[in-house]
This record gives sequence, structure tokens and C-alpha cells, in this order.
Amino acid sequence: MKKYLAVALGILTAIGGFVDIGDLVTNAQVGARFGLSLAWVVAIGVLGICVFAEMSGRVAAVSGRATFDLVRERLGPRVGMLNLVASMLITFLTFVAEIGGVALSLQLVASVHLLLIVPFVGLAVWVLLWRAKFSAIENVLGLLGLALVVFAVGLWQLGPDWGALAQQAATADKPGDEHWRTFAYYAVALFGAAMTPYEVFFFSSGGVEERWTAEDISTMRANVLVGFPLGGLLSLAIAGSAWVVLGPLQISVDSLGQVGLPVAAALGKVGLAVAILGFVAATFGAACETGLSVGYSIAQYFGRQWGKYVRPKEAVGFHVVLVLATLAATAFLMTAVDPIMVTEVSVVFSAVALPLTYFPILVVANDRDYMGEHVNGRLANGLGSIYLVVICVAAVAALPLMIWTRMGQ
Amino acid sequence: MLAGLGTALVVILVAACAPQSPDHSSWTDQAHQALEDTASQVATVSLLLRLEREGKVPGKYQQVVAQDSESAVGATMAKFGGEQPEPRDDTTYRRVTGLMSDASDLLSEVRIAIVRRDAAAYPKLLDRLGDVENRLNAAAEDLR
Repeated sequence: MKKYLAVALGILTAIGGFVDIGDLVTNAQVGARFGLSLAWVVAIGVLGICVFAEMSGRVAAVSGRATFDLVRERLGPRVGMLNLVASMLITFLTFVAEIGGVALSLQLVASVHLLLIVPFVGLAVWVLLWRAKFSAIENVLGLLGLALVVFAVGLWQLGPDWGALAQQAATADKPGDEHWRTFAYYAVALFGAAMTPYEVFFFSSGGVEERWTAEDISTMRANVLVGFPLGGLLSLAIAGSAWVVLGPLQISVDSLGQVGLPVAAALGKVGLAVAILGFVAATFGAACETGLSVGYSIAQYFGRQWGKYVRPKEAVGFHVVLVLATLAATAFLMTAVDPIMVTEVSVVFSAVALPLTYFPILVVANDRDYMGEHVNGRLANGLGSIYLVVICVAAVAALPLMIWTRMGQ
Repeated sequence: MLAGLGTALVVILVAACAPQSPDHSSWTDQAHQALEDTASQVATVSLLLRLEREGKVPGKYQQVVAQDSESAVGATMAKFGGEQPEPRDDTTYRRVTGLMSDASDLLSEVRIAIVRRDAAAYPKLLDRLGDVENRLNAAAEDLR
């Protein structure tokens, strides 16, 4: 019974924790412009994050070692350091975007200037990272993130032409007035939003923190293979409701307030309040996960003590990194940079950085010396190899498309 | 060597201070984009007022969305205003900047009305938003 409850809780938190500021903004932008014609990218991205997270979770459970511990060992200190720097820059950018996302969400109810909210959010994130238990961060914020189901309820309430939506999704039927290059740019951005590297750093490090063993692999698989796809359905609901309400009005999404308008149109003030709760929980949870990912990865690379289950005085380096990362992210936002712009950039660069951590994990998951009987099977290897190609194509295409389309214009 | 580097630095600084000078085609694309972006913000505020009429959006949320749209149009105007048009585009420049200025002024009026909770002004503002949106879309269509 206890195991079933753990699986249910894991699945629910995986659903609620799947969506972050990148998913909220990118799915609403794509939905308003392209409807569900890019739904196939969400499907590919969700399957990709399942493959990546399953492999890294299995590696963590069997070897007891997290991503950057292995990256350094497999790639050597120099290449490992390059990998760390590049991956941490992207994760830090995502951390900035998530803290900005929390501030934007709170601004929707407080209606005060963003720069007055950002320092409090930075402080709250740091206090949570320092004091709160790992399970509290993961479970409470993950469960509250389920409030975003309101987008699915809103879409149903709007009563769209389901046949037309299904046809649009099935045929990738792009609106006629959109260029193919813009379509391709948003495909890469959606892929980057669904397959953000920090999700895997956090997931595998969390596995090591919670001392997963080979016996936990089945629970981990259930969380990943059920929770993430259901989280992907939330992403599609955000895109679908944006298409139904914002699409006909030719509204392009560039603020979080616009993301919530379809829910308001469908369900009124109560629905909107639930959506804002979901925004806060999803971005707060992701801010904690990205902040921890920065600390985890750097401490793992340098072989220092790390983790939420270790007393702060025994993991000083880890906690110093958390403090510095939070201060730096807050200071970055205090320059009045637009958090939505940071989000748009971070999802594209996530696609660029993905091969850096995906490839070493794929190699280790194939290494019988590490994995023993839990080494990749034919299916995991086949999917892993296909996704290596997909990830490399997205990484190579991301920057040229970003420049060519002037970030999707 | 040092003189060369110094010259390069001066050239870069001067180029950075000068307005951007795109060719006719590129400038027209940017004008079209600026009009579409502005129309999108006007449509957002228009939707907001319609939802307000149905009692579906709380006041603080309205304020933030209206303020965001007003700021976005201001940013679009500033960005487009920094692009140097060719002499043959002067008429279009006046039309585009005039329309964006009208939209910006109207969005400021809407934001003021929303902060004051001046619901009596909303119907007229909605009509004017619709009119400005139509003009923006027509101008954008002409630049295709």
C-alpha cells in the first residue's frame, strides 16, 4: 500500500512539476500563433525527456552517482569543466527566468512594480533552499502545480471544435500566413522547453539524495512514464486554450497576464485565481529545482559534499553556491531585464546545451561496468540513439533559426 | 598595431551610436512587424475590457495586463523609431509612427480608466480600440 501511495504521489508531483515558466510562455505563444500544429513537437519532447530521465534515474539508482560526477569521470576534467560551464550557464539562465516567473505571477495579484517583488522572491527561494526539506519542496510545490489543470478544464469549457483541433495536431497544419522558418524556430523552442536539462540534473541528484537502489527503478519509471506525459497534456491544454481565445484575435503572447486570459474567458475570476496559484507553484517549484541543480552540479563536479539531506555546515561549498546563484539571479533581474525575454532565450539555449549532458548519460547507461544487469536494453538503446540524433539536430539548428527569424518574428 | 585597434574601436563606437539604416525591404518588414505587434497589444486590451464587462477579470489583474500592453507598445515605438528610413519611405514612416502613437495614447487612456475603475468609460474606449486595431491591421496589410 505504501509503495502504491509513493507511486501515486510521485506521478502527481511529476505532472504538477512538469510545467515551468518556459512551458507556460512557449506553449501559449505557440498555441496563439500555430494552434496545435506543433503538438507533435510536444509529443517528441515529452518522450525525449522520459528517455533521458529514465536513463539518468536508472544510472543514479544503480551506481548511486549523479550526472556531473559521471560527466567528469567519463569526459575528463578539462572537457568536463567546459561541459559544466556551458550547462550551468543555461541552468542559471533558467533559474533567472523562473525567479522572474514567480515575480510576474505575484505581480498579477499584487499589481506593484516587478522590481519591488523580485528581491522578496529571491529571498524566499533562498530560504526554501536552505531550510525546507527536499520532500517538502518536491511534493508541496509539485502538488500545488496541479492547479494548472485549470487550463484543461478551461479548454473543455470553451467548447472548441475538437475535430478541427485534432486534425490540426495530426496533420501539423500550419496557419497559411506563417513562414516555415518561424514554424521551425518555435518547434525548436518547444522542444527546448519540454527537454530542459535542469529537470534531469534535479531528477538524478534527487535520486541519489533519496538513496534510490535498483529496487526503486520500477517506481521511478512509473513516475517518469506516466507523470511526464500527463504533464505534456497540460502543455497542450495551454496551447489549445490560447489558440481558441487569442488566436482569432491575432494576439501574440509576450506577457504572463496574456497567458491567463483564456482561463478567465472560460471560467471567470475563480478559474483565473486557480491559474495564478498554478503559475506561482509551478515557477516557484522550478526556481527551487534550478537553484538546487546549479548547486548540485558544481558540487558534484568538484567532488564536494552536497545535498539537502546533509547539514549545511557539512556542505558549505554547496550552500555557498546556492546563496551566490540566488544573489546573482536576483541582481540580474534587478537590471530590469524582461523575464519573458530571458525565458524565450533560455528555452532556445536549453536545446543548444542538451547534447552536453545527454551524451555522457547515454554512454554510462550503456556501460555494463557501471550498470551491470540494468544496462540499456534494445528499446532504451534504440530510443536513446534516435534521440541523440534529434537532440543534435535541434542543438545545431537553434541559434541559426533564432537569428534568422529574429526570435520568431 | 595599436593604431589599427584604436581605429577599429572608434569605428565600432561610432557605428553603435548611429541609427540603424536598413534597406527599403528590411525597413518595410520591420514596419509591418511593429504594426502587428501594436495591433496585438490593442487586441489584448480590447479582450480585457470585454472580459471585464462580463465580470471575469479582477481589477489588479486588469491593471497589470493593461500596463504591460502599454509598456510593450512604448518599447515597440522606441525600437522602430531607432530605424532610419530611406527618403522614399517617409510617407509610410509618418503613417506607421502616427498609428502607433495613436495606439499608445489610447492604451494610456484605458490604463487610467482601469486604475480609476471608471467602468462608464469602457464602452467608448472599446469602440475606439476596435477602430485603432482596424487601422493598424489595414496599414500592416498594405505593407505586405
